[in-house]
Amino acid sequence: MTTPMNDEELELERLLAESAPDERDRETLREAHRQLEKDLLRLADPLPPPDFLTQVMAKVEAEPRRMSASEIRSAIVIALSALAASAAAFVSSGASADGLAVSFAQTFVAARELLVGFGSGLAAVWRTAGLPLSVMLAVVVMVTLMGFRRLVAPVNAKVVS
Amino acid sequence: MAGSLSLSLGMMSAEATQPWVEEVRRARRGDASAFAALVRGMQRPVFGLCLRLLRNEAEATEVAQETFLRAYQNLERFDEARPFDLWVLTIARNLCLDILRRRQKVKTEDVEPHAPTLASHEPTSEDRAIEKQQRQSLEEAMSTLSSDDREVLALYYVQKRTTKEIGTIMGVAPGTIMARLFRAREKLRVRMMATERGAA
Repeated sequence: MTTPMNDEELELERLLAESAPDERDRETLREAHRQLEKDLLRLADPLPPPDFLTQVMAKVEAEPRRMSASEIRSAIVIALSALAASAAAFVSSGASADGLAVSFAQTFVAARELLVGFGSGLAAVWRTAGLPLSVMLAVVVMVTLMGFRRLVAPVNAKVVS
Repeated sequence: MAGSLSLSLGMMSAEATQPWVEEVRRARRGDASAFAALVRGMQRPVFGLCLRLLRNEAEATEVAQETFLRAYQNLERFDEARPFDLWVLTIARNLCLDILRRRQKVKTEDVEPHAPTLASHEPTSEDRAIEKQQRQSLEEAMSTLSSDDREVLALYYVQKRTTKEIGTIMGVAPGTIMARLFRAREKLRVRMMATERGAA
């Protein structure tokens, strides 16, 4: 008993008939294709170079993933919320635009006084304990620089194989 | 009769499960080991397709790596309802086609066969050398076909993809794949016959 052909088999029959109108030739061609299929099925994909995965992960580490739309949306929401909260606090405190300008100008005056005071303090410390201060500053600068160096140093891509 | 030709391949499988979904989700959250697992699972078919299309190992390696980088950068755009492997293969195919188009433009297409770099299943029979020779001839004949023919043969026979999957990767109707396969096979058969006659 023969089973009905599906669309792909019908298509194949049509193509075979196109290539070999004669029934005997068609059977020969069908057999040749069948053999060729067997040979083709034995082929396999080649293996990539051994360091392929490492190379890919290094590239991935070097060029991080783009921010997702949800991450961007969250960032915008946080920024807008902070802005709105600041505006609300400003308005609720009863401040006006004039008051804001005066506060802004006063900041400069206060900053000038702070700078003068800081300079005077530093000069007084230098006069009484110049050497210990220099040593302490040098140590702080060195530690900070070493910390930055560790932060900036390239880190190898982590690959779990 | 004719039915056995295609059905014997056993490739008309139903929808496959999607085991990559969890790894894709983890990779999206920045888990590098999850993405490495995805790469490990797909590196061979991606590299194989690139090599068959480009016929140059260095270029194929570069393009295959670029494929995974693009996949990583665009993970957010990947639709989890679709198969991850087909998505990655489509990226690889598009990158390869870009290179092939550029090659055609500058008319520097490499015509040397790439067969030595293509490995096959290890034969186990006594006539190992003969089998190897036969496969080598097949690879060489295949490398003389057009990139379209090489691609459809590689996806169907080497990577065992269904006609539906190949249609998705190539962006054509699945119904046209059987005809493409037949024509590619026929060209291959003619080339192999010519080679055999030349050798005789």
